[in-house]
Amino acid sequence: MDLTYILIANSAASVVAPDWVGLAIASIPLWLCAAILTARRLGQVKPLLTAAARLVAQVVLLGVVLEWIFANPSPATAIGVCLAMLTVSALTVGSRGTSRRRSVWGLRIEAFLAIAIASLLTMTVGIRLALHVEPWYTTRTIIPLIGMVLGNSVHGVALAAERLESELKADRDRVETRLALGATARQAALPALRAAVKAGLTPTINSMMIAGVVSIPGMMTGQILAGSEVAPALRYQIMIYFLIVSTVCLGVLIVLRLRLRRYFTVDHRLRVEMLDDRDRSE
Amino acid sequence: MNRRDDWRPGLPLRLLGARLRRGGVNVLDGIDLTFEPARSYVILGASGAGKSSLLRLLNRLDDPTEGSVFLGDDSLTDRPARTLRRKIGMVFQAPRGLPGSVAENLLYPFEIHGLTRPPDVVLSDLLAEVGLDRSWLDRDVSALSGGERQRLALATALAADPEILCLDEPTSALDPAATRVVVELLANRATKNGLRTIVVTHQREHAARFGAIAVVLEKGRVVDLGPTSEVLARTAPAAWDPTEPAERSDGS
Repeated sequence: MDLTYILIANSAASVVAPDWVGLAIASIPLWLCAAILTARRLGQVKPLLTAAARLVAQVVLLGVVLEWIFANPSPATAIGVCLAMLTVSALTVGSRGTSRRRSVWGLRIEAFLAIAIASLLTMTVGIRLALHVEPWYTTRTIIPLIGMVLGNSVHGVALAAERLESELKADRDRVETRLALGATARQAALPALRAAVKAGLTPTINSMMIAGVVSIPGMMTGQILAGSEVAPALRYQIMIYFLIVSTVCLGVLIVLRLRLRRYFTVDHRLRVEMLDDRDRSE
Repeated sequence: MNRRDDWRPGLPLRLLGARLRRGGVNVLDGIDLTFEPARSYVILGASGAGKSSLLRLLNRLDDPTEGSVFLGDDSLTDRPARTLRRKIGMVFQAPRGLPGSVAENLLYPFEIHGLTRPPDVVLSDLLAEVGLDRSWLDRDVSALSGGERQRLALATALAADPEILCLDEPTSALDPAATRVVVELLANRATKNGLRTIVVTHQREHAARFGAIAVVLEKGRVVDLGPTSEVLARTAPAAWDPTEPAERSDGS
């Protein structure tokens, strides 16, 4: 789901967009792939076609919703949509892999808070100070922007939280050795925190490293396809990367700070029961 | 929060009705015990008796589910945990050591407490005291054997200058010569610095050398307490020491 294409929808000059027949033709290679996978009995046909069907349904639904949202800009709509996107983002945290623990809801609430605070700060800078959007609830601008910011933040926050837990588990004896010598919770968990920050930031940093060299970033691509000049498109892209990386960074820092309060008591004691797999799925 | 940050040496450490519950089981089940000043203690018992859990209460790595631990007249929870842990040190069983060099391990207590870095000679002296080579300061911990790491952990704990040191099976990975070094070191520190030690072991042959007073734990309860020689004389060896031959198990 790439919301970037709608950002510059009003730059109508030389816009080329596929019609429904064009889309059907564009799906031919996909059907070809499905046929090869079937013929070779390699599997993944069902997930591939399910994903394609879901993509079409979800994006069409999104289009309908966005049409309504853009047609009815108001502070309530803007805040409501942002909160809904934020909630869905936070719900995806902890839904993967090993997180079956009852405290997964605690993690989701913390992720919600972390991403909310981080994105509020960065979006305020982006929308009010950098773009001078008037009024601030111009949904056509802020919804695509916050969509991109949230998509990246939730990924970074989830990776950081997962890594913190796995590091504390793997290094529990060393964490307690540090505590036993008189370290604070933060001092004792510092190597785990460093690993978690690295895990959370690396995808975004890597994406920035290769942006414009190995890949043409999505937003820039969307704007150029939508008919924008290259110069404003690249400025937009740079700005969105600044917003994304700072939201990810702030979100990771906040969520790790909140997580640390769960894993340690105020008396700098490691709550080993929080790391014990036997406590899971209760 | 009004907490005592001062440290007055020579206070007894008392457990009153200390119970520790884990996963629905009482790991410690109502421990009443006093560790008097100027005495060394050894805690004996079979695996799972609660020996290590008892040590963790003294260093506040765990707090009792019920009951209390007192230092003098104050509950341990009335003191900042960090000050307490500096003065009531802990050496874990089979420590891995902290990542980095031997010197970085020895300097860690200074770093976390914001103390001035001591000269290398002080660190080398600590190494020599535990029977490690004085020149190993730059050696990476990953290059050390289990026994060497055990002694490095002891040296690191001593670097924090504790008054009471809790040691969990401190010689489990050591050969007889290295064990002798550790035993003598603890005795010397007790004489010169007033170090009080509480040593957990299930090795009967080391018990008398580690503590004048022995505490025997069984299923989380204190089942015997007294001068170590007397406790050893009246306890069936194989009751808690798996290294003892089975035929001697009726020799009480």
